[in-house]
Amino acid sequence: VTATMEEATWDPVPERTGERHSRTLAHASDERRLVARLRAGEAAALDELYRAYRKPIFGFLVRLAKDRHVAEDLFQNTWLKVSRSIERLREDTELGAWVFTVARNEFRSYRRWQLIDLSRLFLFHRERENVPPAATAQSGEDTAAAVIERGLAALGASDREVLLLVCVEGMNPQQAATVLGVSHAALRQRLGRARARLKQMLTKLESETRAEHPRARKP
Amino acid sequence: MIDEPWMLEEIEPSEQLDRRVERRLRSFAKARQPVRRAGPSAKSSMPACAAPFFPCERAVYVLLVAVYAAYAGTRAVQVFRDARAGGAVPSLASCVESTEVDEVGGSSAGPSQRHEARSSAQTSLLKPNRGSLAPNSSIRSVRSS
Repeated sequence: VTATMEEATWDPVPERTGERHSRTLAHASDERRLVARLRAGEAAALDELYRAYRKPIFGFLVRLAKDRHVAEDLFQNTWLKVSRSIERLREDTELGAWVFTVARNEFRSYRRWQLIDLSRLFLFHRERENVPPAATAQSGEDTAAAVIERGLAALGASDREVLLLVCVEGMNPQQAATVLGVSHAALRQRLGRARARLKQMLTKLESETRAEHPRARKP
Repeated sequence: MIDEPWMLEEIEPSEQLDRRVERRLRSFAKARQPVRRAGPSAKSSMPACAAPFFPCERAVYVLLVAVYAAYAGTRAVQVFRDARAGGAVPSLASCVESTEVDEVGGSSAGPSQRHEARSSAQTSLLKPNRGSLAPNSSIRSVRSS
């Protein structure tokens, strides 16, 4: 895991479109056509958009919020906002980046309210308990993915979102910068810092796992 | 090698959540369709109508308003009749009249004195009650003068 982390952590900003994100809408021309249909108010187009992005958006929200119930609320609100603002779409809108931006804004607004709502202070400890499903697998046979899940869950929200967009959803830097509302240079900086923190976290987690299960790695 | 560790498990929304969101999206799309069919100019002319809370909502509202209007009307007529029959203003006027008659009848006052007595009685009646004075205090002051 550490070897792969070394490569993954210090990998420069990838100039690729990740598998997961490219799977949602195959070509730019398809996206343009879908945008046109959405602007025309076609109900089937909205369904198509939902089917294309439901999994990535839900995964993104679950990993950001670290609570499935909160993520479900945010997911619903995200799609409501998407459906409301479809008429205002521009022809050149990148649908993926746009839907992720709406979801991220929903999460940010939730975080803001969470800070104001004092009653939630008493529920902060629950965040640790409600980590994503893969992150809870803490047996000696931890997969690399499970270790990364745990590392991501331990990071701050700003580090987590940039890593989720670029490394998990496979967005290109331009799209990720659009979603986060920052410049390309700022994104590179944030990504570098987030990766460094994740590397530290993974090293720590790995040493903890080894200490708990000393024979797990041996064949 | 780089892709491998980052291929995290896809987290799917539950079927229930899926159905809920899809239903909302469909209802939203359906609500938007008539406006689009009528053209862009019709959007501003068509009033935005919210979904009713219960069946025959408008009829119930109209009935309630009608019942309230009938009640308010009859009540207003009743209050007006009561006021005319034995209200506060006529009784006070009669009090003033009676004090005036007592004063004038009891002594041999001239017309100027009568006028003074009447004007002082009227002004005292027109003054608002001060503090915790009783309603008849002004009449008493008229009598004492």
